Amino acid sequence: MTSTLEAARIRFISERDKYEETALSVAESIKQALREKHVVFQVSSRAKTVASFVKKALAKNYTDPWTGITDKAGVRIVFDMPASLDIGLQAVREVFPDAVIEDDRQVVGNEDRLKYPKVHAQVTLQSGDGTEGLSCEIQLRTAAQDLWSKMSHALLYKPTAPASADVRRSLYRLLALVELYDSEVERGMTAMANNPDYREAQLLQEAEAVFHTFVASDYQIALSQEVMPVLSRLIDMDISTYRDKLTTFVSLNREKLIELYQEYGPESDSGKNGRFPLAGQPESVLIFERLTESPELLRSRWARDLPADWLTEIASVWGIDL
Amino acid sequence: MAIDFGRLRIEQVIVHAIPRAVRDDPNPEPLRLSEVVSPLDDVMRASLQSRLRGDLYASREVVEDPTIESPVPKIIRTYLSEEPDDFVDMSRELAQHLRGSQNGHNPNGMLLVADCMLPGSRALMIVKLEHQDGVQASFSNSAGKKTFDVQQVPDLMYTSKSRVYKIGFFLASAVEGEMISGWVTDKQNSNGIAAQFFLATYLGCRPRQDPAEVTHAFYDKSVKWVNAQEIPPETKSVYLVSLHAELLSQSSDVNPREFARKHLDEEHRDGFLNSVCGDDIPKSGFPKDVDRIASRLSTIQIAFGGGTSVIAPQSAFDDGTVTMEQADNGKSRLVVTDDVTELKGKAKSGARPKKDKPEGVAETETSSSQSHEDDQE
Repeated sequence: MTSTLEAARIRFISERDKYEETALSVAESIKQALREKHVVFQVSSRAKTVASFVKKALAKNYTDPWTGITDKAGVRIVFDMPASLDIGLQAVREVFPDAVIEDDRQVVGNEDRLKYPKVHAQVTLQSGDGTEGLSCEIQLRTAAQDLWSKMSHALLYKPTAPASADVRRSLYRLLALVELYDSEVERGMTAMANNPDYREAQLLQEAEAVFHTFVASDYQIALSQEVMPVLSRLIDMDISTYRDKLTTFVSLNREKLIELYQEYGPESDSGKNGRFPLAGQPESVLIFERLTESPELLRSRWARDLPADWLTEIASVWGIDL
Repeated sequence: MAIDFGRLRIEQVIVHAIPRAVRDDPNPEPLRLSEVVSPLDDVMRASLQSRLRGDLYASREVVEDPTIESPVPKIIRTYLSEEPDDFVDMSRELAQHLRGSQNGHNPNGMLLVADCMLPGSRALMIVKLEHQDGVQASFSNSAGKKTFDVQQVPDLMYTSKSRVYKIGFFLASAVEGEMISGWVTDKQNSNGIAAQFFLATYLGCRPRQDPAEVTHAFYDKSVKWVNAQEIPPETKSVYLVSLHAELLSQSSDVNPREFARKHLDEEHRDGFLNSVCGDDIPKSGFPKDVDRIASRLSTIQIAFGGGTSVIAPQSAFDDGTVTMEQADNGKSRLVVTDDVTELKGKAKSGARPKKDKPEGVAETETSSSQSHEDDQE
């Protein structure tokens, strides 16, 4: 008589392709949702290998291996910092409202142990033909956790030879570093995000990325440092959202920007004669965007801290009279 | 038709001098007409272009008025319909007719005619500038000592602060059959509305929109905008009272942008202008004609969530007899500080004809109390 495990093995061989497709499909849906969340992430997917399926069933000694093994299809999302894990879980819930979440990060009682904090979601991809949907396990990790996890799996969980006590001790010591690394990254990012200078620098970087697609010249950083605080206070949205807004603005006004920098930019005759100095600055891109989006607010806020003539001149170039 | 004047490109310009001439003067000072286009390097072109781009932002649409006898529409139409090989002659014709359109009050001036391009269309720009003088200070040496050499500069045409000029702009693609249409602005008028002699007598045009229609549309859209905002009712009442005051003022024009700057919180201005203004209602101003909305401007009605409706004359808000404020519980309180002259029952609207209320007295439909609190709308 065929054993339960043998029946599960045979069934998995015949159905593995479907799990491969399921994993791919779940990964694509997650990628799309995460792109809208403006976080840095990497997504990978796979169907378990048949050998891995059998090894896990033997190691865990499941009564019903088919039901017990929940990661026949698997998706892994790796984020650059811990705060993004919550954003990732939110994206999973939005795409799969029935997702079963397993989140060990806040589990009480493990304070004296070095334990890998599991953040998993079990989701079911509904089939289009009325048959039962296939299940997929989604793992969410930070980059540091992922690095440690890969190493520990190779040395601790799936070794061909058992790891020595010394190796096991080393891995657990490294886990402490992973926790430390993530918390320091989080602390640093929070501090930087709350620093106005950092925000101004980020915005200027976004402007520069656009500006240098139109202009191959250096600019006066001192002038940028005068203007950016005003623009930064005006742009009251997170940088990634504004990046999208700026991309759309540039795409709608590409021809106009090309003409404008040719005639008024730093390489134009006017620019070389010292005229229209703001047109030679990367922040001009942000000024043009604000002039299009909210000219009155720009005008009134600008006048508080900067000479009105500067704005009047660049606004006229853009075709707006303030 | 929305035009992005930020893409205006000047191809060539020519300038003519139009000295002042008293009507019927048998010996007026002759015109000084150019015979070739003015040399224009890239720096000058860019500078002139940027000024005119900004100035045209405040322009409003005009159309040819066939009832006006002016040769200018025909000159413009012919030039824009044909190959541009007669730019100089055409501009000289425009200059001669400008002299004929002016009266003795018009000071010495210059006429700048520019052959322009906007994406997809040729264009002609006619700029009338008033003659200006200036004083130039040049750093120099005098007997080995540093000093500024101060000299009078005549014939200044376009100074950085100059506001004394009028512009007509006509696109080839906007020639509608036998009629021209375009945009006109007058920097001498804070609202950009062109002097009658320039718009009508000289250019032979009239505003595209009827002032009464534009004023009506501006009022309706403004009221709609105020009511649609998620802002405290007290702010809404201030905005509405200000709108009425603006439209009831002695000013012959309405400038939505100036209205927003003067009366609205800065974070509301762009939303207001974007929502209310457009092709039909210029941001930069239009002649005011309140005939169609006069009756609505005399009173303000405030409806409360509980069914109370209060109608008060505009003057009661202006003089502080009626005020709206926020109550401690987050609701709104309308306060009437006045003598009560009469209390009476009143049928609901539509049940029977209303009697006129006494001038200057607030009237409530469900309550005659002097203070009323209710949910915010």
